[in-house]
Amino acid sequence: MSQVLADWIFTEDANMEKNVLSTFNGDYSLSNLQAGMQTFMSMLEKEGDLNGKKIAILIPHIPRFLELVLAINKLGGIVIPLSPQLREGDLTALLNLLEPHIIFSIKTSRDYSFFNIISDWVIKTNKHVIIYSSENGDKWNDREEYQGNEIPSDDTSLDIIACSSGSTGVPKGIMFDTGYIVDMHHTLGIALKLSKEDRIFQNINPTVILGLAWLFVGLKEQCLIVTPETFDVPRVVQMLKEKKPTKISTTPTLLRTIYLFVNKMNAMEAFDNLQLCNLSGEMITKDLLASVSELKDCQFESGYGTSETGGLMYTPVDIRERIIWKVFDNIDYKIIDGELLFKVKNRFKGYYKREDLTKEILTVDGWYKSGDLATVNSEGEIQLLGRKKDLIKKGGQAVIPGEIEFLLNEHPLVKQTAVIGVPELTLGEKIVAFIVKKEEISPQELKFYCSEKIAAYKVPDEFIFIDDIPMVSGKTDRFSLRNLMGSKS
Amino acid sequence: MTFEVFRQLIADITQLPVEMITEEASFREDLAIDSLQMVNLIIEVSTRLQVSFENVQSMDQFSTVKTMYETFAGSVVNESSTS
Repeated sequence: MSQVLADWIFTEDANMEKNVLSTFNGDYSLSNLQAGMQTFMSMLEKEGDLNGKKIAILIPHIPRFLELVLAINKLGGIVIPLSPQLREGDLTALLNLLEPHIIFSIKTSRDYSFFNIISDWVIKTNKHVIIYSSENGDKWNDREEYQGNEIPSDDTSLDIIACSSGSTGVPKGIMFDTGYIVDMHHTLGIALKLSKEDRIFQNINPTVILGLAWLFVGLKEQCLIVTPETFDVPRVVQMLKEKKPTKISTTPTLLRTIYLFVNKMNAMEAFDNLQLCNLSGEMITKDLLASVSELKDCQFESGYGTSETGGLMYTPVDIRERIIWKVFDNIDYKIIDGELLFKVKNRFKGYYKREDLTKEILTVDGWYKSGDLATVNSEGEIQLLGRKKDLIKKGGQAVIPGEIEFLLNEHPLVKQTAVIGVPELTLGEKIVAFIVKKEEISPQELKFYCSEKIAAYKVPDEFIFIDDIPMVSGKTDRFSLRNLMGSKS
Repeated sequence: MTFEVFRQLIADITQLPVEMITEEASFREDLAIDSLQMVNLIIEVSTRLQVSFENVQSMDQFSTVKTMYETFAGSVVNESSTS
C-alpha cells in the first residue's frame, strides 16, 4: 500500500497556518489547501468508489490542481495530470490511450476550448464519462454525465499516470505510485539542502511528474514554494521581487531569461537572498554561466534524472568550478560496457499499456538503462562522457563525440561545435565536426590543433562551418545534422 | 522615436519584411514569434533603444507591435523626436 499524500503532508505536527505556496492566484497555507481538498472530496464522494478509477485533470490553477490531486489520491483514485499546453491531436491521443472515467477540465484557456475537444472525444468514442468543467479553474459547479460503454477499472496500486509526448511524438502514460514523491523528498532534500526557512522559486510544469513531486515535497517540508502558473516574465520578476527566493530551481534558458529581465527592470533586489541555483533539463553552457556571472554569492548546481526515474545524481561542487556527479545515497548504480545503469525500485512502474516500451529502458531485474556513457573514480565521482547512441565507431575504435567537442570548444576561435558519426564505406563511420566560428579559422588549422592533443583516429575527418548548431530541447539536434550530411552526399 | 523608426527596428531584429510590422500585428499570432523569441526580441529592442522597462507588469504589454511601441516609446519618445 503506497502512502496517502494527504496523510503524509497534513500531519499532527505540521504548521497548518504558515504560507507554503505562492502562485499568481495568491498565497496558500496547508490549512487552505486542506479545506480545498475537502471541497473536492465531498464532490467526488458522490461518484462512488474511486479505487481503480482514472481521473484526468486539466487545470491551469496550481492551488486547485494540488487540492484535487490530494482529494483523488485520498479517495483511492488514479490521477492523470494533463497539461494546458496540449492541443487537439496530442490531447485526443492521450484520452484514447488512458480512457479516464472522470475528467476535470477548464472550459477554455488562452482562447482554446478544451471542453469542446474533451466532450467531442467522449461522444465520438461513446463512453460513460463524467466531465466537471470550470470557467476560471476556481469554481467547479458544472457536471455533465455522458452515458455510454463502461470503462473497466484499473490497477488499484497505481496512483498517478503522468503523460509524456516522448521524443518520438507518440504519447505515453508513465505509471507511478506515491512512493516516487516520498522518495523525491529525500532526493531534493539532499540536492537543495531544504529547510523550513527556504523560499524556493521553481517553475517546472506541475503536470510533469517532477514538477508535481516538487510541489508536494515543498508542502511536506513546509518551505515556501513560489511558482507561477504561466511564464509571463515581467510578472515572474514582480513575484521574485516580492518573495526574494533563497533558492531557484529551473532550466538554464529560463534562468537566463529571468536574469535579463531582472536587469532590464532594475529589480536586482529579487536576488538579494539567493543562495543556490539548481539548473537542469538542458545542457549548461559556459555562455550561460558567464551571462549570470554577477550572481557571485550563490552556488550553482545541476540535477540529473528523467521523468521516469526522478532525480538520480547531483553535483556536489559548484558547476562553475567543474562538473562532476554523485549518485543519491538511496539509488544503486553500476556501469556496464561504459553505460550507466540505475536501480529505481520505488519510482518508475512502467509505461501504461506499453510493456514493449518499458522493456526498452528497464532490464528484467529493474535496472534503468540511462543511455549515458560514464566513468567513475575511487571517490565515487562520476563523469559523463556522452550518449551511447551517439558513440562513433570508426574502423573498430569507439570515439565519444563529447570528448572531441570539449577539445574543439577550448579553441579560442571556436564558438560552438557538434561532432557526429557519418556512415562511410572503408571505416564504417567517419567523424564530422560542425563548427560555429568566433573568428576566421581554416579546417587545416583545426585538424592540426586536434592532432596535437588527441590520438589520430579521433581527429575529425571533416570540418563543416555553419552559422548555428541546431538545438532541440536545449540539446544538440544530431538528427538534423545527420540529415544535413545526407542531403550533401 | 516615431512609429516608423520603431517598425523598422522590429523588422531589422526579426528579419521580417517591414510591411508585416503593422500597428495591430500580434507578435504571436501574426508574426509567428514564439515565447522564447519574444523574450530575446524584447531584450534586443530595449538594448538598442538603451531603455529599461521597470514599470512593465505583464507580457500583455508586448503583445502587439503597437503596445510594444507604447511601452518603450514612453521612455524614448521625447529625446529621439528632437534629434
